[in-house]
Amino acid sequence: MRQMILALLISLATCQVAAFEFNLNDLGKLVDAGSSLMKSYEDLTPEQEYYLGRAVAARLLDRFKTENMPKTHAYLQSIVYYMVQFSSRPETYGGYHVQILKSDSAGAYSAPGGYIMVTTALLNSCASEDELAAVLAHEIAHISQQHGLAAIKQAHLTKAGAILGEMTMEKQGGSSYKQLQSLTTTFGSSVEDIVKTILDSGYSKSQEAEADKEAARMLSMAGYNTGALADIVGKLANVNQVSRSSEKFNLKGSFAQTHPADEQRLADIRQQIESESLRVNEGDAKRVKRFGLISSR
Amino acid sequence: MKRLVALLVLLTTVTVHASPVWVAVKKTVIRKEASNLSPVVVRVNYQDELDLLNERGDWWQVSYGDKEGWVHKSALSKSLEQAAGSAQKSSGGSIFDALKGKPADSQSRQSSNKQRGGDADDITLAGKGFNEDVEGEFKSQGGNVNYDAVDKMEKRDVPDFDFQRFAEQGGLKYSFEQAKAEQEESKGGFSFPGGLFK
Repeated sequence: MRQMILALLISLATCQVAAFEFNLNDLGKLVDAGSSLMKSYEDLTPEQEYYLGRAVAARLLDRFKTENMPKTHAYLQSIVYYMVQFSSRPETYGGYHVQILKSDSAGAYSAPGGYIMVTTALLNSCASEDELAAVLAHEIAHISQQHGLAAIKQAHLTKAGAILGEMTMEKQGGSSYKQLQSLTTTFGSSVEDIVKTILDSGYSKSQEAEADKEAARMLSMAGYNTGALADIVGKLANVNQVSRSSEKFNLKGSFAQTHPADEQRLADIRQQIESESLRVNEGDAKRVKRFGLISSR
Repeated sequence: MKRLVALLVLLTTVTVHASPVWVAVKKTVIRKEASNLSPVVVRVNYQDELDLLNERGDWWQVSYGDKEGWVHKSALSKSLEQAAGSAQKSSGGSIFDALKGKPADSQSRQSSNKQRGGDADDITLAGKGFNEDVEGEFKSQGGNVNYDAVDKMEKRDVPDFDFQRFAEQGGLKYSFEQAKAEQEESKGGFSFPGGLFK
């Protein structure tokens, strides 16, 4: 018995030595391994997503004037707190936040990690809490499905991974300022990738369809009228067509010009409601009253 | 002799039963049951280490010190790398461990984290990558950014928000039952690390 135990202990010790030798011999390979730390945007941690989202939101909030409207913000924030419980991702690193933007163009935007921005024109276009919840659910879905992060070019992620590998090698002595600058440059490029997608090219049709699909399910589980999603998508397409000529910026959010409510998009939403037997109702008097109190301000 | 046997038994137990998970968000709560409406057992913070006991759909059963309960899996990570970044400042772990997100000194870190209860000072595993330092450098470079507005946005809160009351006051008859099609598609759903959303 004693011999067996001693043999086992020696074996364990040998493994430790082997592991130590591996570390010494393969340090060079580990730098290369750093490059593979970010094979895709999915390798970003929730904390990194948070800082990217803050920067994207900071860029958007620099282009818009913001509204204060504390009671309306509290109302929107409450809807978001409620709705995220039905999303695939109720928790993010920094939580979900809403900001009203002053704009005559109806639009809603989301930044990674939980930042949702809606314009005053969009709020004015919503005829019910259900439509408002539909817009917010759609933006929550973009966040939960990480559509913003997906816009980051792979080259920027690979570069960030390589810098991280270098920084890891030198972790005991602290990373150099040069490395921090390099990483910041990559960070800035990644932020611009996302901003460009949000403001210029817009999300792809398939991403919009995915966001619609999750939003419809969230609305149904939350007790809202799922048909409100189709209603607001169709309505905002018309609103934006009318206001296009007076656009101050060429801004293109989830509900704006780049993704008009084409027949296919509306048909997809309606087909999903039917095939999944999602909730369709007329809305409750209590909810109508609650929305009325806010919208009349 | 008995000491040797005890040591081996201890090592074996740790290896078999250690199933740590880390808090990947700034703060969250452990609830009594696997439901957003269930009472809060204890609050936990970023990088706190919990023990994973069981998984049920989107909820993970965990223990934290002498407390036990459920947390939505979107707040947790099975990999320290995914919870805290790709490298750690703390001593004791090899570079290989750091790259792979496996702390060599998991047990001591676990106990120390739990004892400290997630104070700001205990962040010895500060995440590398796109972090506060990078944001500071990014800000210093100027550019068209308005971080004051972002900070204001983050501070906006509804401290007295009550899920149940909000639903009742709006006549919202909610249900956490997922649609059939969603259940089929969401197998595997949100999970750190690796594929996040499908």
